[in-house]
Amino acid sequence: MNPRACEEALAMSLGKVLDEAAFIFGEPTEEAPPFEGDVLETSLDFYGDAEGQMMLRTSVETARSLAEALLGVGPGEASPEDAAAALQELLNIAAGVFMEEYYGVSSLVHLRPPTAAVCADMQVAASNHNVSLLTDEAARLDFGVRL
Amino acid sequence: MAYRILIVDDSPIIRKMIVRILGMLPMDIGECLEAGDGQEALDVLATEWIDLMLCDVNMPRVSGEDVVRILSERDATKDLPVIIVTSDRSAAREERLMAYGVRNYVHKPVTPESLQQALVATLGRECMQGGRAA
Repeated sequence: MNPRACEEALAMSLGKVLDEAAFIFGEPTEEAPPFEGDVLETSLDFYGDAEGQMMLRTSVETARSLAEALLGVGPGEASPEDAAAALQELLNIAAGVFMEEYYGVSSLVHLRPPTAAVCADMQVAASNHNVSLLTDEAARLDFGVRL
Repeated sequence: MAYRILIVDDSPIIRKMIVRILGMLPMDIGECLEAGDGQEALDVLATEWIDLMLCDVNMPRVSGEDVVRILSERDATKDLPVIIVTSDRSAAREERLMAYGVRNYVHKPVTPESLQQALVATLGRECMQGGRAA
């Protein structure tokens, strides 16, 4: 695995999905600010031609904003359940884009359904490769893969 | 014709998004029914008349691939138009699903444009001649 190519694929995948699904622009950064408040982390396992785990994390507040963007509703209208479901679905979609980008369309990789958990403290799950994206509203999202 | 559409996805937010997008299209939607996995979809299809199914692939219990295989084996459902809506971009899986008679394939994230294109390709251009957005 080429670490740089992997991290570029991670950044491209998440950026594309944020743009197309939620109309949010995200830019990779190497100097990510700390998360504000509790962190919502979602992860999914994949297997087949490649095996490992992918994870997406952001603050609970940002996850709620993402849910509102996906659902096309106003501020404060998305529930905590919507926030978790939105982050899980963004991970699911971004993982699919990453698999195509990194392993190619001819590979057969199966994605398991994602799970989500709120971390009271920033407990970064071990990932071989990780990128941080900052949105134009300075919200941070981390996208990583463990192989 | 008012279409009865079954939306099958384990993500409630995706089901809501698809309902919202369908409401934006110039299509006469009679009713949107929802199922949270393949087994729920089969249960709905056993009792309800459905004109079109939009179906995810990776779901707990019964996957989307198993659903379309089962439907293709039954006389009553083998001709049901099915559009796969998935984050899975594997060409091998797409070929397998098409072999079961799936009419079209939409990659997530679903947009009004991608869904409209798949609906027209599946149901014909005349399906876009009604509804609120017309």
